[in-house]
Amino acid sequence: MLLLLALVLTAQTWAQSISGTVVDENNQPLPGVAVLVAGTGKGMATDFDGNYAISGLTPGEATVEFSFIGYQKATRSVTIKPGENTTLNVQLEVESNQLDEVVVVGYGVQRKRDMTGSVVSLKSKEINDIPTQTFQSAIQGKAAGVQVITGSGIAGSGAMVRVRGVASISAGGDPLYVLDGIPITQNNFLDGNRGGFNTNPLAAINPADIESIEILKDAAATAIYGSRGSNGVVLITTKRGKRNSGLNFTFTSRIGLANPTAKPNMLNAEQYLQLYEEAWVNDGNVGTPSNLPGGLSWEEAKMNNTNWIDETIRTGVQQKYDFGVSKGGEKFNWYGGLSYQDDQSYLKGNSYSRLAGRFNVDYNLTRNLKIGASVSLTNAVNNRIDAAWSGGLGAAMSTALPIYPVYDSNGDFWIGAGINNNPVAARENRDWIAREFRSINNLSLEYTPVKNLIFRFQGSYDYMDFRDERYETALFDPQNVDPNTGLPVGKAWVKPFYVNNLNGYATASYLKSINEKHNFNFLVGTEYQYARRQNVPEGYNPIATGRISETGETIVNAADVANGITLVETAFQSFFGRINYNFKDKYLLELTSRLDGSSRFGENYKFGFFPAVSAGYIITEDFFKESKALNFLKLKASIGRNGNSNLPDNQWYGQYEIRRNGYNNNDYRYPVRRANPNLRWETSTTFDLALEYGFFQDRITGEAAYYRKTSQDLLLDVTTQASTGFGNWWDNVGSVLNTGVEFAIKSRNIVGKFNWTTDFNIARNYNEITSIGPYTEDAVSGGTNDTRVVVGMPIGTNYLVRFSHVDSQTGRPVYFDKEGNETFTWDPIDRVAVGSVLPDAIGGLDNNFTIKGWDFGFLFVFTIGGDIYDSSSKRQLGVVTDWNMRTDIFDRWTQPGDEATYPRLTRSTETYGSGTPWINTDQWLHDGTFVRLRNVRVGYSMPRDLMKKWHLNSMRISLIATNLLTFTNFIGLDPEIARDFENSTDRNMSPNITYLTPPQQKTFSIGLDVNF
Amino acid sequence: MKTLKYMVVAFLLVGLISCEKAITFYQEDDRYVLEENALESPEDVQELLNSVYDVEANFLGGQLQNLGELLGDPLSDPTGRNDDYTQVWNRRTDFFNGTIGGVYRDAYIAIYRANTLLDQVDDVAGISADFADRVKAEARFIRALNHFMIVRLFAQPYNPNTNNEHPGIIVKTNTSYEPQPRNSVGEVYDAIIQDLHYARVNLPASNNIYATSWAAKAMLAKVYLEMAQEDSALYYASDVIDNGGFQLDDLDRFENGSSSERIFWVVSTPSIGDRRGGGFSGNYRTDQPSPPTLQISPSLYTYLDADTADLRFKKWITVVNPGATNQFYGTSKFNFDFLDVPVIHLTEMYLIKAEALYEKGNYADALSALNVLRQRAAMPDYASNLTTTEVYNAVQFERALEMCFEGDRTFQLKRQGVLGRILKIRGVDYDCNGMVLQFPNSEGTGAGFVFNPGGGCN
Repeated sequence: MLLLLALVLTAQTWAQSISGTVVDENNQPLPGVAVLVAGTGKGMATDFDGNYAISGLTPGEATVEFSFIGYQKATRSVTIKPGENTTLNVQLEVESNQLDEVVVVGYGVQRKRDMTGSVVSLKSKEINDIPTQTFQSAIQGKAAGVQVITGSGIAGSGAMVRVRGVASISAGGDPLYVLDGIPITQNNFLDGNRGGFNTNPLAAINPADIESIEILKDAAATAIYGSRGSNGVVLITTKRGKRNSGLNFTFTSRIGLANPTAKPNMLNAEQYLQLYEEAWVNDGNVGTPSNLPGGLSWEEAKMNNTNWIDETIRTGVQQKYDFGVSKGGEKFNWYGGLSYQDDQSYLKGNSYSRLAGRFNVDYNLTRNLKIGASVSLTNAVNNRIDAAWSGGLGAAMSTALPIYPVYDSNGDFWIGAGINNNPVAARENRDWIAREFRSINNLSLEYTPVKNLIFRFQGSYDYMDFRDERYETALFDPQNVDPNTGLPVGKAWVKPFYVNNLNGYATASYLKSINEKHNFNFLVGTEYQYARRQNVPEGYNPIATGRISETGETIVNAADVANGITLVETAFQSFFGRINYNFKDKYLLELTSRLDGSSRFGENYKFGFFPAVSAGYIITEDFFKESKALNFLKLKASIGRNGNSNLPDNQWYGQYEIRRNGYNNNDYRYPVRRANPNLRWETSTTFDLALEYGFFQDRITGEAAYYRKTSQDLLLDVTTQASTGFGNWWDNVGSVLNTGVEFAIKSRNIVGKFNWTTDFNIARNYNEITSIGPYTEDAVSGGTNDTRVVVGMPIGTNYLVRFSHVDSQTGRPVYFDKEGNETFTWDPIDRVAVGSVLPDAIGGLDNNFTIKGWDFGFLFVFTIGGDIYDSSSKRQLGVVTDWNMRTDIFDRWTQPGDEATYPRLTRSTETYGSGTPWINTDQWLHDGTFVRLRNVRVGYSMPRDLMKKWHLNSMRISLIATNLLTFTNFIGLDPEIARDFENSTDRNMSPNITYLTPPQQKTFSIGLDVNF
Repeated sequence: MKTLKYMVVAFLLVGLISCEKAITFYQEDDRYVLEENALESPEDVQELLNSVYDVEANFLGGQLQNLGELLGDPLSDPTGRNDDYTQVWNRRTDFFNGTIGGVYRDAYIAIYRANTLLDQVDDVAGISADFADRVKAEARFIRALNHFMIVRLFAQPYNPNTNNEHPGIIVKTNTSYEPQPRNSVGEVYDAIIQDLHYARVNLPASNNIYATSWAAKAMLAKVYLEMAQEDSALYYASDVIDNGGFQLDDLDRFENGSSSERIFWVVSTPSIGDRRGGGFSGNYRTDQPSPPTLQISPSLYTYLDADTADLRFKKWITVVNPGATNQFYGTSKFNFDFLDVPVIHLTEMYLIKAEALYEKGNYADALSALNVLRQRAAMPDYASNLTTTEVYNAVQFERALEMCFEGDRTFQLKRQGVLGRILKIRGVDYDCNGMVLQFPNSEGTGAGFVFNPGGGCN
């Protein structure tokens, strides 16, 4: 009856209408949204204010569809009442159907839905929501199974990235970084470990230029990178102009302040002297203590009190400005980016500035021929200082004692304990910069001769010009005299190196569909990469008035420098192929293989073959069709083999070095390396099983994965017996297991005027060395960090003498010997495996809220388990020496009967049963668990009508804080530690070891994002 | 379609670059040469031999000698001046001691290069038999010298009253990477003696600054004395004294130049700024602004201060900042900008001769050997009617003074310990665990190597 009535009414009148406003996720009006009343053909686009009005509708039930690019289509049912206007306001949701996203994979793209490999994809927004110098830090906590340890607070320091644990001992354990198709120069040790710092070769990449980052995790995804994929692959894709997107300008700026996350609790002069005196008395001495470090008398020492921490740190000012322009037309698309960043760290005298430009262009020459070109130029200047073991804050935490003054009575710098123990004098008398010029470019050609057949050729060139320059005044060496004037004069050094990295590849891909059921995608390709690094010996000017590039003064060893340039060449020659098969969009199969040859491999193993197979089944195509909850479920599995060839060049052949004018003025030659013709890649075999899911029309999506990676032929930089007369050599002998589970979920908890999204991921990795061949624990060591390779234990096992307790009668420390008997004697022969630097689990929790123009978000990252070795505390809390101590020492033994954490104070190592004050024990080993509020961000987007008035598309102002809070039981400075490393073995084995390592920075920034 | 063909051709071409050449590079330039091309002529062999001496000069440049002195009684506590030295002085060394590791490594680097010569010299084209024999003899001399220096520091002393089966050091006579266990002290001395005799027979009597048959004989005298084989020691010491053509010179035997008493030595070359002996000059010099790392113990000072007229005492032993709170005893024996290091010299031959004669009961000849040295020091001769004890003391004293800080005394004391004449060295048993150095950590990288027991001497 009602229906009849409705029909009658409909017939009677056409005056009904619907109107409303369409807004976006920030409640800002969305212009240009297509609004369509289903079944009527009536519709329109929203105006600039997001308004629409459709009239001439018949009364009754109607379905209205709203669609707009980048947003999910919204469908609303309304009842149109006769003669009335029905208001229907809609908020559109950003397209987040991840399964239809296109994801960059090796040599192509794939629909996420069709993927059988394990890939995490992060978009520009996720990479730039936190102010960082390097994009790596922005990944932290956002990708399941990807551990990112942000570098220390030193400006320009790199982050450490580990994909599903670490599967290498001496070979580089970092993932392969590929930027727009070229494996870029990524060696962290090009400038060694100077000043307690490794330079970050990825710092030259401007995060603002990045469109997306894909992290390939399993063999199915990485096998296409063959001998270089086993530690994961990070694909970086830079921004390009989008077809038909018009002209867009963006301007982004961040201005902020940086402070350390924690401040060292060092003793002041009075406390130091008191403890020194206590040690003096404990050791049986009487009278006024003498032999104070720095040659000071007791009275002189009492007059000084320098807080060297305050003398070495400050509030750093950081700023970044990014300007981007893109234009997209029918045939011609381009993107240009210009960026300037200048970050002072909280360490006085230390900053990193980067001027970066990028221009990416694509042009469709003809309908089937496209060319693309990219040019990027970066000039980075790192104002260097000493840190950690090298001085600066490191000295303030160790051998710069509070009893040392900054200035002597004449007002000159006091250098009675050596200039490095006056960090102020050292800083102000040294001018040290590292300048990097980097250019990454490529040119590509894409040709489609017939439908579905695409040839792609790409040539790339990555150039790095690095120059480390230092000047020290005469204060560093008063003996250094200018022969012309007879007066002390400064010295200068310059050490450049150059890396040319060329890469070319060609691929052909062909799409073939049979009966619309069987869909194939074939890809074959070949690639050649050649890199040459020129290491230039350090140039030296002993009569300098400034840095060489500033003064133009000449170096004295120009001939040696010119003759001493060494050339290191690397090449990879590869062939690869991939077949994707998709049956009815339900069953998926992928076969991948790569043949890789490299200049790094020995004569007997020039080429390695790396195949992988993977399959997927979209279960929801057959089952759960009626389910209202589950809308997508995919099971995928893969098995494959890939490798790691990140080992030093030239190690496979034997070599002699020839030197002139040596002992007794004779020329001489000697063997420096023995041949190892069997030297080759490491091989990992990975099995992966994963489930991808979507619930409630993808309101909740995510992935759960299990993997098991066994790596063999691990490269060990073996320390041979000293009596062989040889140091180290590279050999493929070890094996390691990494197995784990990963879980990720993304949930749009609340959708509407108020939006709340949660991202959570957690990953557990188990790591175990299963073999180190015929060697013992000490054959491979993590530098000075007391980590060793122990079969049955993880890579990076803390190998230490065990500390038992402080003897309450004598106050002496008691240790355990190897058999577990208590002893007063400390001997490194009693070292055992006591801990591991690798965490049990890692993850992140991100929350985002939006309401009206406001957005709010915060990211927690966490690390569960793993041990921190606070290596410098053995001196800061040990024998009273020329090291300052931490206030923790107040909990020490002072008289018989005391139950104390730290033993009696002494100046004699003998009291601690040792011949050295470097007493490494597990007393300095701490639980590494922490939860950190990585960032908090609050933003406000200006209302659209205001924007219209200002002729802008959008404008957002935000406040961002990083590392605001940290929850941990670690008693040291910062539980998130990537110290300076000596080499890749050290880097693999010794994260979580701190040695005077500066803590990370805590920043507060204000941001401005404008779009016009 | 024509373009398609070009594309396919281009595609294949990129692939066909593939040949091993494109991925094979060698670093071969003025500085580096491939192992297989490194020894192709007598000149190449000579250059490798030069490198043996180059590293040998580092090995013998002072650190080795200092480690010996630190174990014994000559030096005062270096705490605060050098942690590695302090550990040795405390006689509680561990296997991370970098100074010890460096000395040990240098010894075996020289041995490795020497063994490489021994392995390959006969296969080098155009090499004469004489040349090859000389090279091999020099290689074996160096090998013996280094094994001897190392075994004295890292193993308990040779004991003539036992079969010397106690653990010695690794005798390295091959160029293999294969880990080896330690040889017994007896095996080590057997190897040293064999190498020295080979060197004695095959070395020329003169050989620029390099090893000669006289150097081999002098070393034999030294090693035989260490083994308490006095007849042999006496024979070779006398042979060198009587027939070697060496002359006692002034007391500046560490000064760069041409001391006529040196038999095997290390040289600095001022013309190219090549300084050797840095372990001495860097740690002992009393003529520098900062006080030296190594200072003389008051007990040794007192012992040596028998007669202030003794030129040796006057010249070598000084009191710095006398009377001040920072007073210390130092030695000016090494106060030279360029040092030569006499590793074995004529003075020592007289001392060996004297000691061997004493052990044989020939006191008169023992004293006259000592008197040769005393005359140089402007000291009167010993009386000829001394008692056994007095002769013994004279032999010990003259050696302590003549060879002070040359890395000798501790081993003489240990030898006296073995012979049962003393029990303690600076307050601890002469053969307690801490009186030998711990091996560097890397020796344990191959299974089966047994380290010295830890725990020091307390």
